Amino acid sequence: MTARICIFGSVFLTATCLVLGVAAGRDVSVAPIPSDAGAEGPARLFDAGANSAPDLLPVASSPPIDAGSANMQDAAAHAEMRAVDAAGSADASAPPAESAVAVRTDPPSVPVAPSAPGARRVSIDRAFPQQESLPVVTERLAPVPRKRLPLLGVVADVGAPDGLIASLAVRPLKWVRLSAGGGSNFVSAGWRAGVTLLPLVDGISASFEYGRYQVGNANTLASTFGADSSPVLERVGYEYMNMQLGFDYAYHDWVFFLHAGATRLRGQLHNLDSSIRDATERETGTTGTTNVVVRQDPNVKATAPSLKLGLAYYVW
Amino acid sequence: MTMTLRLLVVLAALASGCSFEADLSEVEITQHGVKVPGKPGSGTADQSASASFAFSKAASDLAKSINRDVQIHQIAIAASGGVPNLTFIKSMHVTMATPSNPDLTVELLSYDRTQSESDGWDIQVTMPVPIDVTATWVAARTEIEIEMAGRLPQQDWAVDVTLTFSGKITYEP
Repeated sequence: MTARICIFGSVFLTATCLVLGVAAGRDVSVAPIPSDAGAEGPARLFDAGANSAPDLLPVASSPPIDAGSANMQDAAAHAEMRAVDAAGSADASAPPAESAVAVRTDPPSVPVAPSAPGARRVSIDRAFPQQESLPVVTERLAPVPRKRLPLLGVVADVGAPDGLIASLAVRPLKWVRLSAGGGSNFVSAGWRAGVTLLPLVDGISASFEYGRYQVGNANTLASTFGADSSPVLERVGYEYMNMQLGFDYAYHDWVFFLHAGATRLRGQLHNLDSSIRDATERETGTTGTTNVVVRQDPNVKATAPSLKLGLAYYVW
Repeated sequence: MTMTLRLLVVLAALASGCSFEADLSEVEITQHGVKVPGKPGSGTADQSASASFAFSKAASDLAKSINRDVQIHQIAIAASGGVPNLTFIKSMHVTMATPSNPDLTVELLSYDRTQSESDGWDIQVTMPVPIDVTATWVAARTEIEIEMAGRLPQQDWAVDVTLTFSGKITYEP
């Protein structure tokens, strides 16, 4: 496609220059397109334009030569001005224009004042040293877009003490996954937020999470496992912090992970007095002669193993 | 993958050393109706008497499971039968002991009634510095012994003894 555009543009501009040259009564020579002006040709010329700015004259940013003027001296002046402008652009390391046309005239050099302070004065001879390949239309090749990693995703996982959690995940960096969501530990509702670091993007991971579950009645869950109901289980809530290592396996936009590590739990025990009274009555049939009162609910801290199994899907 | 599995195994092994700690900052354990034998003929002279008890097992299971930093903060003794009050007591000593090891006996209270306390119905003493009784408390059996002196009643009477303490329940394999 690029070659076709180059050929078509070359033919069109060659004809235009010939017409203009004849109309002006001057000798106009137009170099043919190099035979190897394929995808590399424009790029090479483009590079030459970047390194020695006057080689190529940007057309897109310059006023077109008016065929009605039929004055090649003006055209040469335009060309040189464009060359000077191009030199200024090259000095400033500006990106080259998407297309460029090089025009050679005879006489080749026309003195023109620089268009801007500091701009170099360049002659057409220097702009086209020893080359017969004019004019050339170049088109910059569009870079192949790199596929970016999805940014947003959803995560579902189950484990202990996390329970069942559904989260939203954000991947600001390819080796970082932030997540926050809510769920249930089958006793009450809770939330959790955390960060997972993936130093190899895929594979080993390290997770740090903090979560909290509201107070709920755990007797129903206890009875599921055949345990007796207890006043202590009537109000169970805790906060926890996970520190886990694991393995994250990615397949397209899906990530399966297994994390294991340690959890630090913190909470309060409630209704201990009632629990003690219940135990006394079961043993003796009446309230005993010893009475225990817990004036303040005890704070409980525990460190325990934790395990989590989950699946993430990046949606965007 | 192999390295990951090894890491998981190592981590699981480390994590299996789980721990548990419950911090009980204020617990009261009361023994009701501790009987004290009467002293016939003690109407005009000061005499002494003693009583001891162990907390009943079922109720004290939780309290006895406190196994670290057990500290007594306050002792309260109140009349619960046979006498209207304890104004007749001039001095009192309370100790905690374990029968299996007399070396672990700890004196909890050494009380002498002053003139300003002559109208007090009960005896309640707050420790200026909490007394650590962990070693005695964690023994299989813990007894409280009370010795009293004064113009004691001739008939049997009873008191309630309350210990206010703090401690931690810890578990580490």
